[in-house]
Amino acid sequence: MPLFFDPLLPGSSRTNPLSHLDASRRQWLKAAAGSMLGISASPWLPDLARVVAADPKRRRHCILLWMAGGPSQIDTFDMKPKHDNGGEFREIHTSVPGVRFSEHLPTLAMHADQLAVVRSLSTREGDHARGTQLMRTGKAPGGQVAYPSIGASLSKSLHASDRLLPEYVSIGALPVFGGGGFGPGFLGPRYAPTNVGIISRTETDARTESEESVVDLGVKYLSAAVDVDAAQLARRRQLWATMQQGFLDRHPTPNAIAHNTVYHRAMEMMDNKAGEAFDLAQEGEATRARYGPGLFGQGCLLARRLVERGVPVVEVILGGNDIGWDTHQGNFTRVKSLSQELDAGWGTLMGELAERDLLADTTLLWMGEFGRTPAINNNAGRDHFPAAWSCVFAGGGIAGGQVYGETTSDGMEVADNKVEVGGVLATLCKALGVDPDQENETQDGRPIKIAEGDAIEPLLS
Amino acid sequence: MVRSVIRCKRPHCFLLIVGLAVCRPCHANALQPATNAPVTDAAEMANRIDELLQASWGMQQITPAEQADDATFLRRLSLDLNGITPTVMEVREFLNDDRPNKRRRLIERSLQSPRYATHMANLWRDILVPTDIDPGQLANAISLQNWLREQFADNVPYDAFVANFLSESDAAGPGLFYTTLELKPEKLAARTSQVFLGIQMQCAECHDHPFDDWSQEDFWGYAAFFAQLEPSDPMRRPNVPQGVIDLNEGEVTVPGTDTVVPPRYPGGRLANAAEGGSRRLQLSIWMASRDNPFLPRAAVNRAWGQMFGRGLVEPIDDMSLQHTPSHPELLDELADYFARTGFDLRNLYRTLALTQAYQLSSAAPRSASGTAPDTEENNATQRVRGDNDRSSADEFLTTTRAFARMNVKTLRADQIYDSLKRFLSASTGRELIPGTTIDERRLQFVDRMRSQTKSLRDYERGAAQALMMMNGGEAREMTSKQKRHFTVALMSPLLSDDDRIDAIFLASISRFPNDAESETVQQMLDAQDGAGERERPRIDKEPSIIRANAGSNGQVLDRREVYGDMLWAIVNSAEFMLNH
Repeated sequence: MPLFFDPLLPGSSRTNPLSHLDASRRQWLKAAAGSMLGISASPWLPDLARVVAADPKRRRHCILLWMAGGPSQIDTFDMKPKHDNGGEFREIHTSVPGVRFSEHLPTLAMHADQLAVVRSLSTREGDHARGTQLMRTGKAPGGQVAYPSIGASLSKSLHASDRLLPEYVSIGALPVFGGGGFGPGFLGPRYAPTNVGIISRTETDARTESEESVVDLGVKYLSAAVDVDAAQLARRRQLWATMQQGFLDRHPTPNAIAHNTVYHRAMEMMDNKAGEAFDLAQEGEATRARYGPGLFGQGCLLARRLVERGVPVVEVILGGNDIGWDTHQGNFTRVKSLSQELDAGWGTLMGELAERDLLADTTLLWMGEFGRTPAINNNAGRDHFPAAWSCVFAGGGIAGGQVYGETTSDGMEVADNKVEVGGVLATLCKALGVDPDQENETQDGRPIKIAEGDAIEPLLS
Repeated sequence: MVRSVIRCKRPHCFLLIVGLAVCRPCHANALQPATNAPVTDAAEMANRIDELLQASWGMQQITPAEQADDATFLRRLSLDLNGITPTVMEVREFLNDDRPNKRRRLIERSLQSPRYATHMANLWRDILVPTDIDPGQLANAISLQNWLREQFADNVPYDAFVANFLSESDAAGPGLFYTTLELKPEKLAARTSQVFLGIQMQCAECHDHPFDDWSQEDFWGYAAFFAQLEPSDPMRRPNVPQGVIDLNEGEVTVPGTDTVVPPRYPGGRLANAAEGGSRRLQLSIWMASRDNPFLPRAAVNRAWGQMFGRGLVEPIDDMSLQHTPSHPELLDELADYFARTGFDLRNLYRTLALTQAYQLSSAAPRSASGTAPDTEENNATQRVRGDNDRSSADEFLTTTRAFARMNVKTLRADQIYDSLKRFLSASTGRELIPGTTIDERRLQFVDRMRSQTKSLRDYERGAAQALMMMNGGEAREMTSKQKRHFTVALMSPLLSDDDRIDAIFLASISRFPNDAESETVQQMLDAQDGAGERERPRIDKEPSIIRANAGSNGQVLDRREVYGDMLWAIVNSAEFMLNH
């Protein structure tokens, strides 16, 4: 039991003041509150409110699959088998007639009816750091405002206060190429992602050595130093609780209460109540194996566990710890193995989300900082190419089973329905039921929209 | 006719002037006539502030809180003026001091401490450049901070400080302020008007201000003062000093039109180019002149907010017509007083600290039944309060809002780090610019714990920050068995157990443990001693612990471990993270 009455924690004795009202009245109140706060500025929101009212427990989740280094579109989702630029890979049929993917994405091919491939993405940043910042914040680098990553903005919008888990979890290593757009920017550390990476076994506890090939993931600072045992931890908290009680009894101020709430949340995370969400050992070995043994595969499994437990935004990074998709040399060998890692992780994730009825509430976006040159260089590699490349949407709010936009037969240009970063991020927002025009304020009071650009309506279901 | 440009002759004023001995603001200050023997004495003004506040409490039927005890006052003042908690020695000395004017003496000592200038420079660095600092610009950030520190150490009159800031071109100073705002007139206008004038003009950048009197023309007229600037290093290369160069050309136009807007002082006349000097210099002179009614009001509201946790006008830097002051008369008189006392910032803080209001407790009165021990039953009854308690909660809020009880302020990241530092080993320094060594660990800590909110009454840190405080490098070092510098010092044989416990509390939260805490600490020590005598119980879940303790079976485990645990509990408590 929490030591202090805490309206933000579940199990508090305060009941929802609206619970006795019927749904339509609740909906009306919600709309009224929204308009007072200036939130429901756009005309489509009332529809969303109706949806929410119809299913008050419905929660939306976002999973961002970030492809560090810039994945090759021609070797994945925009194959050009009849052209010299097409490269070595063959294309295969998918569950959607006429839509074909690379032979190394067989699981995703089965889920193609849930995927919407955008083949006409076009941007202007061909440098890793700059492209990363652009795609992750929607803003080109160079300005003085530190823009939040789209994940941070969405976690703020999708946040519900009764959760014990963090609102934004980022799994994987930050790309070695650097680039902004991984932090909360002007939203502040409150909205910073909780970072999860590979943890060494000594940092957890006894885990059988037989699992050696499968990585273990963990949250930074989630556990006390190895030499602090349970008794010592309990002793620390005993004094801490005594002090909190003494102080809060006399100082029931907003900052003291918020401090207490946040600490209780963090301690719950340290204890098994929330920490178990991060404990992949609770999954069967077969399941873990299906996702793939690496950081990305296990990250996708963790993403599923977190979404099941109500975390609104999860990001899984593929390729952050090395050159990733930056295949200037030996493109085909590397892309083949990356594709297999991607297919196992993401493909299994699609299946498991669907089995659990979570796919309709979970929107996925697959994207990197740019695409790769259609022309193959002398080192059997492909170079940076922002002019015409692909990203993929999937799941909730997305009209799956389609391809949007088109590149020319050589892949060099966008032939139809050009899409820019603003459109991609706005589409993601709308698919999640978040108004992209919703504004957050910078420190000097400037309102900044979550995403600038028009959502790609045909992609929305 | 050639007239040479010289510096103002008045001490601490660095304004460039043409054809005069002292600059216009200094001249104006020197000539300020005394009217009706106005209050210039800090103690007298402090009384006047209390008089005005008490009158307002009378009207609202508010009973003020009792006076804060000595320990609370010492910690509060030390954090507010010096940005750090007092040392054990300072607490003991202050508590043992029987002289009648000890608070007054303490205020004086805090104002004269070198930490005063350091803390003010920390605050102002954030006020002027609130954004993330690009690592490549760190040297420039340090330069700015050093420049600010010098201004506060010399107690440069505030009006001259502002004028200096706005006319300085040297890279070893405010340069970074200009370059982070890209030298854009509209950005510089928005930031400077907000910081120095308490005016949020930026809405008028694109349209007439919806609530205030500011027209688009006003905004651009003000922005025109920043239209003639050029960066000394247009590439903004990392670690290259960033200066500003004043040009003779450059104009602003209303967006979407060709209408050139000439420089015009806010709410006042057009600038007269014949007065000479750069446009920035012209603005600097106006800023510091008696024609500018905004400057002293904005300054006293900011200082008040810093000390009391709530501005007389809120938000602190938005003193627009729609945000009326809670105590208008007080704001007027304090602004007048500040101008009359030569914009003496240190004296302003002295005055505020001397008020009875500043010295009030932040705590709710003890309930009639007294604070109950921590049984679950009592927790429940205290937690879930009925209607009676709702009205007492309302009263608590009202009283605090009216400054009849001190607001509880959230510590800044640098206040936390600087106060924690005495429990840590010296960290690696790096000499980034000659003469200034930066503490890398401090930089990282401040970056991760930084609070974004402008209100000191919010706590905006999340679970990630709590986890870092509990389990991060600093916590581990403070409590680790290998290097615990503070707890090692504690083990002096001259100290009794009680002395050691007291020292831990005094060093961290500047007070002795209360009964409940002493009891808990005793339980912790007993449990530890017991565990040592009986041999450590094996805990199945933690095999690594068993390994760590291999060979120590049966050994009476060190009480130092408990001291580390106490420190852990205290630095993670709300009391430590807040200034109450």
